[in-house]
Amino acid sequence: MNRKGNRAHGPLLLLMAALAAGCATPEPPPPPGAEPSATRQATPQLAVISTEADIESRRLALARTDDAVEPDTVGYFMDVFRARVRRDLADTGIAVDYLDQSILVTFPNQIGFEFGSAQLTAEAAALIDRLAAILLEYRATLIVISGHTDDVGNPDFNRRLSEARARSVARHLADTGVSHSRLMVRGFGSSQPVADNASEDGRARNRRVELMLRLVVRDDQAVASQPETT
Amino acid sequence: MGNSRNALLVVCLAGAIGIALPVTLVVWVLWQQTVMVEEERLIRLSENLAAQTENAIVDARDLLARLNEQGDEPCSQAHLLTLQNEALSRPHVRAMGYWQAADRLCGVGLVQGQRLTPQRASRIYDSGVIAWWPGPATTAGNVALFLMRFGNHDIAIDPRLLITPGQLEGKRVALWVEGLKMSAFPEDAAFPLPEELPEGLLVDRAGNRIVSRVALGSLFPIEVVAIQSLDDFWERYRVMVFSIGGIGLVLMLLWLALVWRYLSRQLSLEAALRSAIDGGRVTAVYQPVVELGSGRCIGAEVLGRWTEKNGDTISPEIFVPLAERAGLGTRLTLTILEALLEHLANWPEEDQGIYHLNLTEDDLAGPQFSQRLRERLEHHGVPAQRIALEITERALLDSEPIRQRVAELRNRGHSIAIDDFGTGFSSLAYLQKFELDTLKIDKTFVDSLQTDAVTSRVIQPIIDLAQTLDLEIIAEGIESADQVTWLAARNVKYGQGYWYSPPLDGPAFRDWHLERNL
Repeated sequence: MNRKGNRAHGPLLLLMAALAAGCATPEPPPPPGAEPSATRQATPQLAVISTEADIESRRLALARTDDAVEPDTVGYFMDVFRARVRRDLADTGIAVDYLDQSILVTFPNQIGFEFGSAQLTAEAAALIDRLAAILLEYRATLIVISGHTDDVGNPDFNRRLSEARARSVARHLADTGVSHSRLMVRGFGSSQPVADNASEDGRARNRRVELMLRLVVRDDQAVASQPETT
Repeated sequence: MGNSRNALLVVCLAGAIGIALPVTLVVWVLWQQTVMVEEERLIRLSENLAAQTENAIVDARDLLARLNEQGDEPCSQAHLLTLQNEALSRPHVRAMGYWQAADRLCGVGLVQGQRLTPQRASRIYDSGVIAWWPGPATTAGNVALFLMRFGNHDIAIDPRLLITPGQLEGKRVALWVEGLKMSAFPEDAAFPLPEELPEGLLVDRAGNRIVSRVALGSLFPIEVVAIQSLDDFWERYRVMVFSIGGIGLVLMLLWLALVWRYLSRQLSLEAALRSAIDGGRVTAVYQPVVELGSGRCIGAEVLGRWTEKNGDTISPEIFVPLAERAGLGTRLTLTILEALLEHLANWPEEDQGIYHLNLTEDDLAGPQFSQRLRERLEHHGVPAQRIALEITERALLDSEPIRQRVAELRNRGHSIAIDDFGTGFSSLAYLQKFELDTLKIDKTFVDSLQTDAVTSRVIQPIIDLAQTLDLEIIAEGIESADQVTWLAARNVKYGQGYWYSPPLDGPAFRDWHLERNL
């Protein structure tokens, strides 16, 4: 919305903390001073993660489930998945990048959040509902939600705000019925800009929430080894 | 005679070229025409095939959209019944399915549990429609199907049924949609790719076939490649080519025959005229000239008469121009003159009649005629005053040598008359340049005297003109007493025509003349 959005203070942080999902996961704990821990018992699986290894281990876990797509159907799944996303998210202002085995959906913060807040706007909520409908059908996907900010303001605050916003999106998806096990949340702050922060336009593009929808392919070996690990 | 042989040779040569050229032209035009007709047929066929395919695709998309909207519980009895009915009502639809993501939950046409999930879609449209063109990955039961999915439903179309073999008339046909091969008949035949072909018809002589490519594009670009053997093509158009070509050739030959006939007739007429002149079959006849006031005969116009051996006579209107064209003009004039001179020699009676001799254009073109005339008159002892010379307007070209020649003849004592005045030469300038004595008013003006024709008003000025120039007037073609009265009243002194007498041969004219002038 505007640059002040990233400089929100005390009371706002509290609100975000209240919105934020709990963190009772086996993943390594977030950097110090980040999330307040487990405020809600109801959502124990909404994970905040920090490394690619976390994502990989979650993907492997999902690969053992029935929701994972068969290896010989990967191309078909991606084609119909893309077609569905293209049909339902076209002309919404959401950027969609079709990658090899994933789809990157980018919400600009302009349409995503209230002024300086992690609270989703009604417009964003409606869009995420549409996305949720797709994800409920296309279950062979792991959804990694990353919040990003521009570089204005306190980096630590920015990181926490970005994470809170990512969490808001994840919570909304979960509320719609998307399994917690498919949702992962990351807060990058301003560390991964996609545009030059020197310009207002660049900063606006950097303030965003990205949803990486990663294909989960059935892993026969993982399935075979499942009894051993459990 | 050598002349006419040369002419015949030229005619033959021209005829040969005249045949070769039109034959080539006819063959070429026929070929172009045939190719054009065939192209039109192919375009029509291609349009039909393309329309069939386009309808099937558009219909499939609309059907899928409708199914996505409908409210039946997925995979319920009602839902499956709907799918079945929609599939059965379309001959080219082989299967329909209800999907979630990559799982075919239920459907018709394929065995439950079987699904076609090709690795790569051929097209993903913005509308969300996905299509897989026929290929190994879309094959079920040995038939490569065309698959389309939209939302949760998909449809499998048998592309073979998009082509109706009965329409093809023996051609092999393949169809590309959006640059991807959709269907072919026969299925296993080899086809060149559309992009390798020129648009339209290509005659591949080496392959003994005709290949055509027709591109159409209404909703999607569709291209149809058709192949037919040259033999089939020839088989279809042989009758047309032969019949039209035959008619063309016959017409051409007919025309040539006509030309040949005309030319040879002209040539033979020329030859006949020559032999008629040589054989004395061209004789002189005399059309009396009468003084209108007194009715006395004052002489005659001498005309040629060509009588063939079988008694047929040929009109001077035909043989005089013929003689002029054949360069026989002067011989003809001299022949008639000779006959006239003999007639005068056999007529001892005192006779001061003046005889009008018609000159041809040839006679004035050179000095020969003038010399011969003098010789013959001297030989027969006939004074020049008795022979008036009639010259047509056309002969009196604005040429100094001709003017001098006419002046010389006049000086010798010949009276000079303008024949057919008003019908030939348009400029009256010659009336001033040439020294003339008599003006003969053409029959057409005399004929029109009792009518309202425009020419009837012209005769008076002609008379006035002649009188102003101090020329004697002879009216030609008088056929009634009224004409005589009218002309005499206007001081026209002389006349000739059937009212008095038709042209008569020598003895007859003598009798007529004597009787008239008793």
